Amino acid sequence: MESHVRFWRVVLLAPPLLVFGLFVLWPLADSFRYSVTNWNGFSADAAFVGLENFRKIFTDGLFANAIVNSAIWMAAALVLPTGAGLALALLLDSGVRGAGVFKSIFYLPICLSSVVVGQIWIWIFQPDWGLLNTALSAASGETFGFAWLAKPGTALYAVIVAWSWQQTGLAMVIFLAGLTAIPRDLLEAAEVDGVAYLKQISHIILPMLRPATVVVIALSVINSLKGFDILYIMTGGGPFNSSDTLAMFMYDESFKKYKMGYGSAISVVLFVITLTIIFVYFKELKKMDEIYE
Amino acid sequence: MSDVAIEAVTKTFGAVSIIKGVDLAIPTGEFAVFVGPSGCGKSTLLRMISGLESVSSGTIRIGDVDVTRRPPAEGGTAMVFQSYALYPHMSVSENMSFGLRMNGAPRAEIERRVGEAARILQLEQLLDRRPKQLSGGQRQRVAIGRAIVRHPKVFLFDEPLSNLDASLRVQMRVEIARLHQEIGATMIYVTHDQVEAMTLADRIVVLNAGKVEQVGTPLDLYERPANLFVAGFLGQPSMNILDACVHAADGTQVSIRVAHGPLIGLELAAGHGLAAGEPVKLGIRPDAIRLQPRGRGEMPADVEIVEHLGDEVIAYLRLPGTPEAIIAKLEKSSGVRVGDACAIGFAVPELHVFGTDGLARTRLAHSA
Repeated sequence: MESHVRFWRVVLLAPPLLVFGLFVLWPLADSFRYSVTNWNGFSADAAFVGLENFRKIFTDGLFANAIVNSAIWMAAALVLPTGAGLALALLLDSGVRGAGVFKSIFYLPICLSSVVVGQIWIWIFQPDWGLLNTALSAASGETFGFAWLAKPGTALYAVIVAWSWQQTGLAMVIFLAGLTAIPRDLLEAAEVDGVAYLKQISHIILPMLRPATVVVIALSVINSLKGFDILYIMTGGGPFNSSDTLAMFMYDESFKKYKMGYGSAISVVLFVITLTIIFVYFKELKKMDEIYE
Repeated sequence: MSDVAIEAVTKTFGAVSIIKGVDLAIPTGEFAVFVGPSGCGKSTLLRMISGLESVSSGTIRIGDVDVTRRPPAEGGTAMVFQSYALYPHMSVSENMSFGLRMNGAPRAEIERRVGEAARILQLEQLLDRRPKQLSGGQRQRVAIGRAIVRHPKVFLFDEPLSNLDASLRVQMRVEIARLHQEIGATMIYVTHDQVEAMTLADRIVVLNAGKVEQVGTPLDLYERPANLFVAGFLGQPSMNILDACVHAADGTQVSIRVAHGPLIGLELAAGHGLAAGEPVKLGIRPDAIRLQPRGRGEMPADVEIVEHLGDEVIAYLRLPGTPEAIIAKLEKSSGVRVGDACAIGFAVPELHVFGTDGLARTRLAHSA
C-alpha cells in the first residue's frame, strides 16, 4: 500500500475511533475492571475482590428476580412489537388507502423520548381519571379504579404495553422495508399458481422476510435488555421489585446502593448475554446471505 | 390446451388508455408472439390474459371459459416471468412443485410431474439446488419447469430471455422452440426482440401504442408489412423508407419518382387511391439494395460507414447533397469500402409503397 494512502486512512479513521474508544471501549474495559473490585463509586480506594461479585450475583435473590423479569420483558418485547409490527406492515403494504399517513402515525412513538412515552402511559394507567380505567368504567358501567402500575401483578405488564406501543413502529418500518424488497413477481407467480393469500404469507412472505425478522428480533432483544428509562419513569422497578429488570437492578445497585463494583459485575453479565444474542444474530445473517442475493 | 379469444379488450389506468380495443384469436397449440416497442402494452395484454391485470372492457376467453373477471388461478394459465420469479428459500424441486403442493395435489402425482418437467428441461441433476446456486439459463429453465408441471391450458412468457446474455439467449430460444414442439401447448410470448419473435412465432402480433398493427406469420409480416410501423419495426437493419411522389397513375399502373432518384413503374391492386402528384413513401429492405458503379445506377451515393459482420457487410450510404441515409446489407464479397462513390440500384420487385396514411398499397406485378 502506498504510504500516503495509509496516512489518509489513519487520519480519516482516527476521529471516529477516538470517540468510539473514549465513550465505548474505555467505559467497557472499566466496567470489567470495577467488576472485580468493591468500589463504592466515590472512594479513591477500591480493593480487588476477585470473582466475589459474580459469586454473589448468582446467589442474590434480587438478581434471580431481575433475570425472570428481564426474560418476561424480553419475551414480550419480542412477541408484541414484532407481531403487531408485522401485522401493520402487511396491512399497510396491501395498498390500503392512506397508508402513507398511517405509516407516519405508527412510527411517531419511536421518535418520542421514552420519558415522554412513559409519562403518556402513566396518564393512561392513572387509576382515577386515566384513559384505560375511564374506558373500562364506561364499557362495564361500574367504576373501575385499578392501580395498574402500583400492583406487583400488573406493573411489569403495564410497562410492557407502553414499551410495545413505542417499539411497534420500528418493527413495522423494518418489516415494510422487507416487504418492499420482496419482488412482486414472486407473489404474482404464486397467484397464477393458485396459492391462497394466507399460504402466500406463510410460505413466501414470511420466509422472504426472514432477514428483516432477524433484524427486528435482534433489535427488540437488545433494546429490551437495555430497556431502562421507561421502567425508571413508570415504576422505578417497583412495587417490591416486581418490575425490576437487569438494567434497573444494575442501576439500583450501582447508584442507589453505591455498590459500583457489584453493579459493574451485573453490567458484565448483561454484556455477555447481549454479546451471545448478537453472535446468534450475525450467524443468522450469514445464513441469509447464503440463501438470498 | 386451449385457444385464446380476445375481444374488444381495453385497459385504462385513470385517464390513460394502455390497451385500445384489441381483437385477437389464438388457435389451440399456436405459438403467438406479442412484439412491439417499450410501452406498447404487450406485457399489459399478457397480464390481462393471465388475470393479474384487470380488464377495463371487452372479454377474454380461454377455451370455452370466459376468464375476463376471474382470478389468475382460475384461468388455467401458467406464466414465466422475465425475472424468473423463483422462491430463493426453496430448492429447484420445491419451486417447481410449489403450486401443486399448495393446491393439495397427491404426492405421487407431484413427483411424477416434477420428474417429467426435469427430464424435458434437463434439470434432473439440479433438483436439490437453491436458485442462487444456478446460472441464469438454469434459473429460467426452472421457471419454465414450474409452468410445465401445472399442465396449463396456455403458457404465458413475459420477456423470459431479456435477463440472459446474448449467447445464452440464443440457446434458450432454441430450447423454448423445442419445448413447444415437444408439448405442443398454446403459448403466448412477449418480447421486444424481433429476432426472438421471428424465430419462435407461428404468428406474430405487432403492437404499437395499445393497438394491434398487424397479425401474421413472421414471413408474412416481413414480406408484406401492412403499414410503415410494421415495415420499420421488423427486420434488422430496418427497412429504408424513401420520400417519393406519384408521377402518374393510370388504373393499377402507377409510376413513382423517388426523391433524388429514378422513376419506377409499379402495378398496384385496385383501390390504391393514389393520384399524380401525391407524396408517398417507398420502402426497401437493406438486402434488396444493389450497389453499382457510379453512372450506371440512377441514384448516386457515397459510402460513409462499413460494418463487417463476417458473413455479410452493412454499408451506410449518403445521397450527395441530401440528409438522407440508406442502409444496404451486402455480401461479404462486395468489396465495398468507406469513401466509395457508387450508385444505388433497387430490386424493384421488393419495393413497398405506403400512402400518406401510412398504410401499404398491395403490389400486383412488378415492372422496372
